[in-house]
Amino acid sequence: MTEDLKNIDILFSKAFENFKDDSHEQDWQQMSVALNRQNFMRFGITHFNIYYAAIITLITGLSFYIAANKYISTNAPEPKKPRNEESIPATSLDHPIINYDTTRNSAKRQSPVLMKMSTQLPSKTSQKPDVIIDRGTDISNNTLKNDRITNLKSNENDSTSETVATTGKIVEKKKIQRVTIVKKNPVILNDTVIKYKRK
Amino acid sequence: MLYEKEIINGCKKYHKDAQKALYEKYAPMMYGICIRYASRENEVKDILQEGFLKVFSQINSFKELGSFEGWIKRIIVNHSINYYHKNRKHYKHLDIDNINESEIFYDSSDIEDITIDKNSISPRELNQDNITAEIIEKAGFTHKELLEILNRLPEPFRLVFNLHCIEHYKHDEIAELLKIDIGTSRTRLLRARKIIREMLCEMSVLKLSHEMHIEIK
Repeated sequence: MTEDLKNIDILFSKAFENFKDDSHEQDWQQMSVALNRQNFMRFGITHFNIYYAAIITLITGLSFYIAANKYISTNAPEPKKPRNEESIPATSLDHPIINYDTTRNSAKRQSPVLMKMSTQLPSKTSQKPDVIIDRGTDISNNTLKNDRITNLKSNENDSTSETVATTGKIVEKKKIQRVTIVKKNPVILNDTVIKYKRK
Repeated sequence: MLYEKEIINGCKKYHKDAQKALYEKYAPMMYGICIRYASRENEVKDILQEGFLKVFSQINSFKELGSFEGWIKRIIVNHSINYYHKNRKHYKHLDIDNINESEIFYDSSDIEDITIDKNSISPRELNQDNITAEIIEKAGFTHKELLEILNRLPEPFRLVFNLHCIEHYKHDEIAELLKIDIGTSRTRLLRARKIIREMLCEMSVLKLSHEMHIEIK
């Protein structure tokens, strides 16, 4: 019995100890794919692997992020102007001519006024003036008229405030929200000769 | 053609050619090992592939002190056992002690009562005691037949038999690998041998009777 069992051991040992099956030589392709996957997961300087891939992805992502930030900062849109605002440039107006004459000619006088008129209601945040009045450096002789212009500022809260006219006549009816006075060099004509002649 | 040392050095540097050479050299032999531990074709291929991946990843730990073939064999065998442990739940749960040995033998009832050669033994009269090594040897079992016998063994018996009789592991090593007692290892081996012997007897009779039947005709 024991001998028989030993014989069984020998029988199997002989049969399988150096047993080879050559019918699976083509499995290298599958093995190669699995090896490539394994190599990709393993760190090494000589071959491309997951660590390199991660670094490349990180760098690309970062550069994209920085580039996008730069683009946004350089191409940022300018703050929008209120749509209903109309500005009248100072150049479009005639040069102010201030005469040292009396109130008779006051209607003819032109004042250097830059006006911005708006029908928009004043907002809390925007402090832009609706009317800008350029004021000459030396219009002391015209204090009455100037006062009238400057007084416009005090009437700015009046939403239905009337026409602003530097020359004293009605130009256009528009709602005025705010008035700012800007200094500008006026051209002053002296017509004292005429005055003397009259006298 | 690369020599073994060149192959090993190439594999240590992860050269594809060397890896291919190593695979082509040792895969047939390792396949022969894997089929003893797994019965299904896809399982065998899985074990072989994963085992070789382990070989390639751990080749730097090979110190070239012993046989390289032995080193690979050990990795493949260990991986086969790990694979068994991992997929244990997929195997049928059998209470080893309650396995009815007669259930796994061939049914000899349909064999005619014919005399076998000079021994004049009827297949019906065959039993463990009167079957000899001579008869088994005479039957001339092929690899495929022996493998079939192995695959018919319950998994725990097969593992112990493989490790002890073919890989020549000692019982304490088997116990450590399979996480069982040494006594259990011994018992399983005895029972495995007993089952194999009976299967061999049955198959011998079948084979011989079949040959005799052809001769008679």
